[in-house]
Amino acid sequence: MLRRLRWKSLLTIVIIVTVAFSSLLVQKINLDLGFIELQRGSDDILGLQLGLDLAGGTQLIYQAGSEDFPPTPEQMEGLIATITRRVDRLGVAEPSIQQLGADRLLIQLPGVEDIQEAKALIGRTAVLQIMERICADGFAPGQCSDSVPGSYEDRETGLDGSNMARASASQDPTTGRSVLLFELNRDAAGDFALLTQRLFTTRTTTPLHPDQLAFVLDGVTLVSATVQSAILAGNGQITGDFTPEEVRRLAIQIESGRLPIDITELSSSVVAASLGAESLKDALVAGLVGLTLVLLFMAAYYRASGVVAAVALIFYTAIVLAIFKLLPVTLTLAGLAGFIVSLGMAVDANILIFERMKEELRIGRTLPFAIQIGFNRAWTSIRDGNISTLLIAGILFLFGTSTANSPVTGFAVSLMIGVLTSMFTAIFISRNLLAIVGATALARWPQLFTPEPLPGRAAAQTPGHGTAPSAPPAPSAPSEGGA
Amino acid sequence: MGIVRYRKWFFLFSGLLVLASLVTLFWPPALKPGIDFSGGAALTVDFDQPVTGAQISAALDRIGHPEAIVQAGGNNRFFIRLGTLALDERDDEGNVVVARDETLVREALDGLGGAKIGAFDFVSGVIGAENVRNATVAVIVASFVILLYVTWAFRRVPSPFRYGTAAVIALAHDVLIVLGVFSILGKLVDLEVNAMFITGVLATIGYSVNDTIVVFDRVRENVARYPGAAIAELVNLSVRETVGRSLNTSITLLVVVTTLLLFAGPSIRPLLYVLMTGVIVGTYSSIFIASLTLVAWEQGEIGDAFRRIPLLGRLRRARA
Repeated sequence: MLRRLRWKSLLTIVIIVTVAFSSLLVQKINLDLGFIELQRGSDDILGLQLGLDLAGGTQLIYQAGSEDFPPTPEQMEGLIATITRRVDRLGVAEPSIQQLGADRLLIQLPGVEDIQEAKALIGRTAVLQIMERICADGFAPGQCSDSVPGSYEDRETGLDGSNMARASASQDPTTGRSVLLFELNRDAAGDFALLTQRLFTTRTTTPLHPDQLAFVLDGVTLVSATVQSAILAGNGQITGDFTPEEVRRLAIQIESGRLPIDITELSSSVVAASLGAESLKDALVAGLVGLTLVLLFMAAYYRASGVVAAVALIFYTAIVLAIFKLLPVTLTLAGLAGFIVSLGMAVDANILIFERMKEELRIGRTLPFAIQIGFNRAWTSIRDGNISTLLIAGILFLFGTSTANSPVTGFAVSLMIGVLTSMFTAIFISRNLLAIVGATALARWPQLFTPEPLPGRAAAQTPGHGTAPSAPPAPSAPSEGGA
Repeated sequence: MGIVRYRKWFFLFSGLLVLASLVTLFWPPALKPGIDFSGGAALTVDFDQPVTGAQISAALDRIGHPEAIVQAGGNNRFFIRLGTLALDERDDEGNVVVARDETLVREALDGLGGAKIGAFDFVSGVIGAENVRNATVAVIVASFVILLYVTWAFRRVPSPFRYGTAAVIALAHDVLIVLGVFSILGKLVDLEVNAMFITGVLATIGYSVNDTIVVFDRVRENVARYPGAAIAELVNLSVRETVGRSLNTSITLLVVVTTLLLFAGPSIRPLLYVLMTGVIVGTYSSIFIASLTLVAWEQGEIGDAFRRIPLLGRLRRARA
């Protein structure tokens, strides 16, 4: 019966390990099972996602607004939209623009080594223009169409973001459709009236393709519309086939151009791809040499048990890396360090178990029993030790995210994943592998599984603990009472 | 191995180490702050032509950075640390209108012979101050959480609070000594602490507590196994039973850390130094300090020690 159970566990182990190894060996995973879609992987080693310090790239942290003028959540959203649009123009493969806290921005640009150019683009003040969109030269009125490229051209009107009082999302009370409301400053209302009057007239001359009014932010048209009537009082609304969310985003973007928010650089970091590749190579060599030494030590000291542990640790490494790839976790140098500390915990779990097994074998227990008891006895320390490490990793994580200190966060995340996996490998993989080995013919030589020579079988089966003090404290111990 | 019998010597040894650490920590600067904490800039530069550190220092001095620390990394690679970095002034279009350090440093280095900047990190003072505050909070919060957790984990043994406190005493001991070592290294060889250093300190806390828990777990087990036995004897037994594991674990960790130190680049070196110190101190403290504190407390010696303060006099009497 024991055997049947073990086969089931063995099968589970085989499945888990196969999944781990194959997800690492397939550079790019592209899975579509209908209910789950998974796209992971990269061109880097094992398809892992490498951080900027290993892959090269630029990272910038900005403060938006100031203490006296903190930005509103809408302003932050507008700022992020503006910067995202500009960064897209840089042609970066996978840029990341995140908000940190209430008023900070973290911008990561993989592969960008010209930080000066990136700063110039990101730090530029947003420019909102009110343009008129007219038929380009060479196109007869009526030939202009959105479907004919180049038929329209935008012309400046002299009105820009500074002439606007506000823009907001709303709903038409009669039709219930989402509309964009906007309002111009009083002193610009006259010019706007003239502009809209002119645009409105084109509707009568070329009713099919009239000239349009456009809001242009940083050279990109946010929205353009035909003018339904001259706007005399300086406030109008744009109606269209908008969803409420689209209108909300439009309003935020127009607002971000109307009242651009200052950003101040708080920190920046640029790593050349060549240096990143060098760090990666060094770290890999170090990791491989370190891991090999540890595996050799385990096998040499704990013999057969150590060999099992070595296999389990290789599986452990594969599982952790596979989790990194599948979640995905971006791997940085700090993350590698966290992984190495967790590898230490994984080794420790095995050592704890083997030391317990050693004690059980010493008092003459059979190998299967020694394995079982060894695991049970070691479990409480493994559990408590790992939980305390998890708590500390959690605190580190909070500390890291609160300051945008991404190296610390990377360390904490990989430590957490590593510790959780190490509990699993120690309890499930090491244990079952050992039990399976213990059920083979090798069990006849328990001395293969312990670092110390075993006494003859005669001493076997003394109840209780091998190294127990047979009596209360030896009388020879002097002055124990603290006298 | 009657370590319990010699506990006064271990306490004295640790006491001296902690005292020395406190002295060097109170002697400013306690720790040499890296750019993560003080703000500033750090560069890794490869030159096409042979350049000396003195030439780099002189070039940086000319643009107003006499404080620059230049370290050679071999193969014409240099690590440069600047105290502050004035950012270029840019107009609304993003163009540089007044070139400051950001540009001047690049130009000065390039003037020495084809500088290729491998890494350029800048941290403002605002972020630096925040990091200092958060790091301090993180270490203190971690200590409290550990105190609560160990107390809870040992809730079934008599006086669990003692286990928690003893673990935290060992932890504080380790943190102070690690900080002390880095304070001395900062004064002697300008070793700076950065955000990864704090990570290392917290990893040390994790390791130290894990190690202490392994010993205490054995004490917990032995307390249940031998009801009525004296705590001193049980602790002695528990330490003897776990010492093999403690040493093996720390040896494997040290092997890995040393390999990393030999092969991995400079950016995580401070972290590795902390881990190395932390593993050594953490192993020592879990074997000697945490468990022996438990004994001393159980036998009322902590109260005694406070009552008869000239500790050395007492030690002399005990030896006589």
